[in-house]
Amino acid sequence: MSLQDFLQTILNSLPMIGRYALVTMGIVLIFRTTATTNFAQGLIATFGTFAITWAALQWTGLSLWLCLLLGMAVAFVLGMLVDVALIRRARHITPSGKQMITMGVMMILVNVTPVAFNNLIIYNTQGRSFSQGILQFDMLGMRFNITEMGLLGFAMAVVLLGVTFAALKYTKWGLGVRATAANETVAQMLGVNTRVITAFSWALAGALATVGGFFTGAGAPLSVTLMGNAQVFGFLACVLGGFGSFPAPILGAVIIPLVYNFAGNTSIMGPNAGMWQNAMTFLAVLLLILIFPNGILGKKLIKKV
Amino acid sequence: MQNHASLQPESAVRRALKHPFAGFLLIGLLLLSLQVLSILGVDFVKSSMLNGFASVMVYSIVGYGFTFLLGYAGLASLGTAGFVGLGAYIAGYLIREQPQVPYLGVILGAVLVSVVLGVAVGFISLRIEGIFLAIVTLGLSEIFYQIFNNWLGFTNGSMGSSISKYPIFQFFQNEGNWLSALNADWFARVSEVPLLKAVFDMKTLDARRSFYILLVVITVGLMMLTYNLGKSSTGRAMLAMKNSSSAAQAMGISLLKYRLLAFLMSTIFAGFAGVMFMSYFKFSTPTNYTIIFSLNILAAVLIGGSKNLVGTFLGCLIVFGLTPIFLQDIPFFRDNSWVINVTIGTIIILIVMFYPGGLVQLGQKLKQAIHRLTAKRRLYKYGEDD
Repeated sequence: MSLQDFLQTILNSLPMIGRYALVTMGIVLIFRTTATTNFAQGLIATFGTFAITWAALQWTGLSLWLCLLLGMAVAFVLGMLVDVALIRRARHITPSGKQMITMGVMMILVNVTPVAFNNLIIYNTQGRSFSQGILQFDMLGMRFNITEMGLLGFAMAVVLLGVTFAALKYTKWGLGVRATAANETVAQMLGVNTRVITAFSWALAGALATVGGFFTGAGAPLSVTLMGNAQVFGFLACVLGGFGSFPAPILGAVIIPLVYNFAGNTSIMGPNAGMWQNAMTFLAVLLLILIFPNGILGKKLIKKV
Repeated sequence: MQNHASLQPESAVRRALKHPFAGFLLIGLLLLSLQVLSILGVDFVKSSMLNGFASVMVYSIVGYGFTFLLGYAGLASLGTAGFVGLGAYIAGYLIREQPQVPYLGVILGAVLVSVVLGVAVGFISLRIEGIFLAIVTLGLSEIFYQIFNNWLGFTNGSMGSSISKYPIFQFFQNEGNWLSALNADWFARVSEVPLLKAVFDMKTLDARRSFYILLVVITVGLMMLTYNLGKSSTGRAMLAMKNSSSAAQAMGISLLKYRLLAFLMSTIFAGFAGVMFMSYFKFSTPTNYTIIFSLNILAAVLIGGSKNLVGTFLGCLIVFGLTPIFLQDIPFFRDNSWVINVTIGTIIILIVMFYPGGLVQLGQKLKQAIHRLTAKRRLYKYGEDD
């Protein structure tokens, strides 16, 4: 494997890192505020992505940026709805019970989405994308290339995550989220409106993941399984990085795409690399998790008896 | 007026009905009677309906193993799909490619692989706990999914693995079976014995019916086994471990032993159910074994009440059985199949939200309501107690 190949593989991972980081951020926001793993995360994002594509094809004069915002708004409302209508009322239920509720939501969305956006599925319509181009540039005397959409997606992810982290650190909402994550009851006692905090976290999670969904599916026919891999890898990224803090899962979301792209590299893994790419990635990630059972940046939790 | 009912000895029937196995046997009898009705030629019982019940039985076997894991040991796993699929594909491969292996050997092979898997996951569970364990097993299951899709020699990939004859009941039709591999002369002689011919050389329809009956027996048997295990010291130790692993350890309960045991139970049941699935449906594709399947099993067990086996069966009936058994024949649902899944999703949400104890809790509430009603009636009929 040459240096150019190595660097190019890292470059190829950037778009995926951006997408997975957005989905992972949503998962960890929800996990920290409501103590449940949201299995509907991918589907909420998919629904938002379908909405973007629908809007972009319905009103061809509309700027794609506006459509993107519209889809984010749809997912924002959908995420908030799930929390307000279901999760908020299920506080007393066990974690696996809450998981089941998100799974029920997933089951409903998986079946409703294709019906709601019937024409997109039937005609295999291609969505609009910002550009189809491939960017080429020379560095260190070597030639690299990356799709413009991929680079844009990565840049957007960096900006959005930067804004989210800044909000977590400096705004009142962020303080509320951190307080709720530390201890919901105490946060409530201290006057934090945890209901608003969790609802907004769910909403934000949906909106962020929708951006990831848009860049996953842009310019190609959509399907409801669009975010299947992103969802599972997002969970694994959270475990790999450590659920204990907000930035740690993002580290997981950076590692996994790198592993994925190196596992798919034919010069390392042989000619059948593409076929076993997914399996190899899962295997490597599982081994990493076994080595760091509390997450790479996580601390060991000590339970009181 | 005093209530003397408590002073009278209970009738034998009442006592029998109160026995914990009564519910299991009742389910078995109901399942059997459907098959009997179908043999008698009642139009109402369609073969798609029986297949639906067969799939519910197979999945409920997975559910019993999972009940042990979740309800008793308090461990969550989302790798069920991979474990079931592995059993099914091992059965498919051995029956199709290695016909000289007897059926018992096929089951043993699948169980053995499940044991290895269970031990591996059990050891992982010592390092990683709770929701993290569920996610890790989910990753494990995804690896299996990739194997089912890509290892063509073993699984036939996305085309799906299939077998041509039912095991046991079409044993003689299976070319190259172990008896003929052992000694062709014996096989020729044995296969002419009328009694053996009737059992081991059935027509396809008869074989399917016989296998259904076998499945009923196995389902009820495993229910009893799981129930007894749950009531044994093993089950109690696991319950202690579920409530507080530290306290359980302080009482001398070995976490290693019981976690391994819980995972072994669940993987063995799952692998065995996989073999049963392959044997009855004779076909299996990788798309059966996605994360949805694992979540469905979890849903079925939770809906049932996570520790109650009759509940688990009913949960499987709701999650897996509604479509093939009841709704498929209604034209509206057949044309709009999405409505069915939305309905199931809604049912799951409603039950988990309003009856977190599952169907068992719903049943108890109903029982209480009936008791209250009968008490009211008694009051109305006989007047106030003195």
